Amino acid sequence: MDGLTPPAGEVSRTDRGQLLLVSAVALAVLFVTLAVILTTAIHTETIATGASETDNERAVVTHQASVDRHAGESIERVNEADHDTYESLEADLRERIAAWNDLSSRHDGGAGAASNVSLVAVTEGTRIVHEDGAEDFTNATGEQSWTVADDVSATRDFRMTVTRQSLRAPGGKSCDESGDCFEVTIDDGTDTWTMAVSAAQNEVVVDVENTSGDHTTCSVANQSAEIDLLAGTIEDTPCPALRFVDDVESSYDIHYGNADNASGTYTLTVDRRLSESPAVGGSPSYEPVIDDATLAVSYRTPAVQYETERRVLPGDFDD
Amino acid sequence: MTDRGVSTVVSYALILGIVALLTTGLLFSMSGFVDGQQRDTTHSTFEVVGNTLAGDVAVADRLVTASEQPQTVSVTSTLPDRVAGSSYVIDVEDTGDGSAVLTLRGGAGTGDGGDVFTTVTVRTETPVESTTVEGGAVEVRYDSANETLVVHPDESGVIP
Repeated sequence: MDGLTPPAGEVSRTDRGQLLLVSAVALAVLFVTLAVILTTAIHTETIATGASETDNERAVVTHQASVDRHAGESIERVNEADHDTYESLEADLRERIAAWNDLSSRHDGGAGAASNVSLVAVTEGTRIVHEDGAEDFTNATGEQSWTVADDVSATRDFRMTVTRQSLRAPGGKSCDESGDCFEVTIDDGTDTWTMAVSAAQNEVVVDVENTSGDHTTCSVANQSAEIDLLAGTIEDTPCPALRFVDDVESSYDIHYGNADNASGTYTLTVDRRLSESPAVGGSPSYEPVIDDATLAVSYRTPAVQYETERRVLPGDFDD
Repeated sequence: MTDRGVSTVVSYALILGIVALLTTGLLFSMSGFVDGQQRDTTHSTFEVVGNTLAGDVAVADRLVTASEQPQTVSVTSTLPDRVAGSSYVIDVEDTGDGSAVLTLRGGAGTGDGGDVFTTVTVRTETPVESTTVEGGAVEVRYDSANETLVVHPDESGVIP
């Protein structure tokens, strides 16, 4: 019995132990909470350096850019191929885009994305071509003054090459006075823009009268002159006054005047289907082309989804 | 001989008292330290989460402006459900001048001082609807009818 009861005068040990035990447990709880918090801190570092959605965004934008590029080239190729009807043009373009989509979606699928491109609609355009350099610029029925294209919103291409011999020399007078130079007139309903082409000495002279009535003259000393009305050049020399698109409002008519006083070749492409389709063999010929195409583009990854309709114009793209 | 003038009760009370004092002091300081850590961690995690969400909102905004007529633009953001052991809330507010302010609130924990606030500003060209969402997986979606970006909880469940 002596060993069991603590000696008189000594403090009971079990009480001391209990207090320490309680405080140890409380400290342990605190340590566990601290561990949870520090785990969060480590996890935060992981999120901070993790992959962000900008990678996916780059993929979407790259996909869209390559769609634009490929579709633009396809439209050009389709327009150059020999198609007689708008239906066959559209079918050709649809096939090309579908073939590209097969490859592209398979490639994107390998990278974990579902992509798709399809043709929704095309806008019809017309290309007017006069190829026989010996013939003058009158139309198929021989009219001197005729409308090449009416109600045009946008011209994609307008180039002509005139031979100097065929042009009527004004004999010292300006074309306004003698009135028989070959003229291209752009009429937007309120204003007109006129370009008169004539020959003087050994030069081909172009006289532009813009909608405000200002005259600008460009000339080149050459047997023939290639005039590009969209690039604004004559034989690759800049002549900014030639750019009628900067001057006239949308929706205009293109006329030729005194068309028997110029010979050479020309080609222009406008953005609508023209109602007149003269007999095959006449000059100029009106060919169907695609002006632009609307595509449905979609790109989906688990985190980013993107669907849109996009209008693509023919031509090369400078990225 | 050592027992003369010593009462066991007094010794007992003294020892208990000193140990209790020391332990309480230790617990209080530890708890204050833990609370401080929790607030710091919550704050820095909120910054990271807030900036992640801001980045995703900016991605959605750029995709919307990259296209003429976007039909669907949606960016899913995997944000953590809880931060430092407690849930949180994200307030999205459009300032009206081309930017949106994201405020993350939460992490009250055990300490006083209330919620932890963190604010992140993001510039967008598309207006963002003002809303409040709970922390967790979130989707930033383009509303083509109103031409705004909407942030709402992601219900699809298809998150990597």
